[in-house]
Amino acid sequence: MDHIDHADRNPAIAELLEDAYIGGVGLDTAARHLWVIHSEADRLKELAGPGTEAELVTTTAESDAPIRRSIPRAAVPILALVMMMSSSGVALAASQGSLPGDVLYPVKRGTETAQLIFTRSPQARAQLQLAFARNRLDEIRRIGDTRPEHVPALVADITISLEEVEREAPEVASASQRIRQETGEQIAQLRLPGPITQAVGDALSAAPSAQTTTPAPVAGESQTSTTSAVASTETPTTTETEIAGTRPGSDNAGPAVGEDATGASAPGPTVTVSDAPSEADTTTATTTPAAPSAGPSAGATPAPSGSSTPSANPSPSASANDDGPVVTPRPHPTEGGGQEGEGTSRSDDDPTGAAASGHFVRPADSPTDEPAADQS
Amino acid sequence: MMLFSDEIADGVRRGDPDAVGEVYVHLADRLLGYLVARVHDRATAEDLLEATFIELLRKGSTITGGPAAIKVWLFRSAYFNALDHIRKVKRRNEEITDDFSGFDFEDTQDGPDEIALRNERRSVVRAAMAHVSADQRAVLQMRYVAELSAPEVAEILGKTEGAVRSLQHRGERALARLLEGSSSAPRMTSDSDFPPSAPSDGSQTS
Repeated sequence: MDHIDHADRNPAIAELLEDAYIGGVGLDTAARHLWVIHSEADRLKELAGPGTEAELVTTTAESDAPIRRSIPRAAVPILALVMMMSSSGVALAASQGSLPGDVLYPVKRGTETAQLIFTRSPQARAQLQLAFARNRLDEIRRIGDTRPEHVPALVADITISLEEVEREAPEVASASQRIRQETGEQIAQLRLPGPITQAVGDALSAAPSAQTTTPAPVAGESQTSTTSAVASTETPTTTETEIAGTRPGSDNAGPAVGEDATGASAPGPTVTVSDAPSEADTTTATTTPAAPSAGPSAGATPAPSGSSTPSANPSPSASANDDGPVVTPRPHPTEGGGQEGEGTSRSDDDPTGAAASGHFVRPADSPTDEPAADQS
Repeated sequence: MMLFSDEIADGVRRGDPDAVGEVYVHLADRLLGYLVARVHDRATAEDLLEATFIELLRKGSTITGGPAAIKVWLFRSAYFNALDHIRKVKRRNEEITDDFSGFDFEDTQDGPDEIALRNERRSVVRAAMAHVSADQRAVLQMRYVAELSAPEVAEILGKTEGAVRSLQHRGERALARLLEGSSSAPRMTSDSDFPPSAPSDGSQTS
């Protein structure tokens, strides 16, 4: 109905002008824009809907905290379409065989992150993460000799993925254990240079101990705050721990989450005293020293509390906010992408894919990721 | 190329973000291209693209009509958003030739020669576009980059359809003349410079 009068268009000029200007929307840009659209819709819905107590907080506090937690429905088909749309699909396909250090490698990882972001069911997530962990293992195999400097980061990625798999989907723990074991064997075969071996050891040891020690208490805490289901109680909790988690300051995930934490904490303090569980304070106390020390010494016990608490904490607010399944790491991508989009000044908005995918990294990554990245 | 369905148009009027997302999937490429043509800067164009779709989400209920009306609404909104931006930033023609930075993404599969050739051709076309009159340029951008019909362009620009067609033809001739003078530009009358498999529509947004 709209392209009826191509007859009055000069095809040669059409070709020239389309080539000169139409470059296709990048995947990360499209994903960011779709997030912004959905979070804006949620915001509008809350503003229009019958008043909730959360609204009063959100209108003043840049409306970040509670709204962004909800996940756009039907985002999966949209993302699939986005992937097919435009020429970026070519680069995506080309990126699938890339290795760490390659130009297209960030695209590959970004695709994986995007897949994860748009997958809600715990089983499917576990499957994806297992597959991604296998990809990392495969990459270690292929670059172990040539680019050993990337190995620690890959190992850290594996441990983080497996840690979440085992926490969220214990039924596939055996598969996860197998990957972990294979990773260990692979590392042993590689005969890496000394400092890298050290970094790999840190990466290997930090995350697994995290998942063995902390899940139970954290899960318990999230349960209680979910059942209480009062928005005001969890707001201070999350902000407190987010601040604690981000204080060490990872390079990539730091800014977005940090901003959000400070923004959201504005309304917080008034309520903190009354309802915030004491755990919030204790975790702040423990993580602050723990995270910096995690790099060199990889202390087994302090590190876990720093790494897993922020990741587990968003879940209560996600579930209490609106609908169904609780998927732990999702809220943060929402905040990262959304906030970026809504910020009035866009000058600091780094348009590269690396930054975008960095924001999608859940905060749990930042403490554990950091030592590996630093040492490599 | 089919536009999105009537159900999606209904969804947009209800303010359904999924419907807006579908529209985004269908039209974002072209809209971004149009905005790039207008503001000469990809990052700015992406911001304007986002703002335009947020506007669609907010004001979708005010649109009367189906998918075509939504498309026209979007491009009109983009047109004025870009106009606002241009008025704010008074540097319209200075950076026309150095704005490929955002375009190298799709070229990674090609060899350096092809990339250089294509960039050369693009810069020539953009430079030529800068030298046609503002009215002609606006019409050419809407007709070719935005793929709007002449009546739609007339509606957005507040001109008669005849005026739009006349501007289009004069703009085409001016552009062809400018490009003929350039040695590296393909001749307007020859199609051999272009892959025959690429029709003017459907190739970009399918």
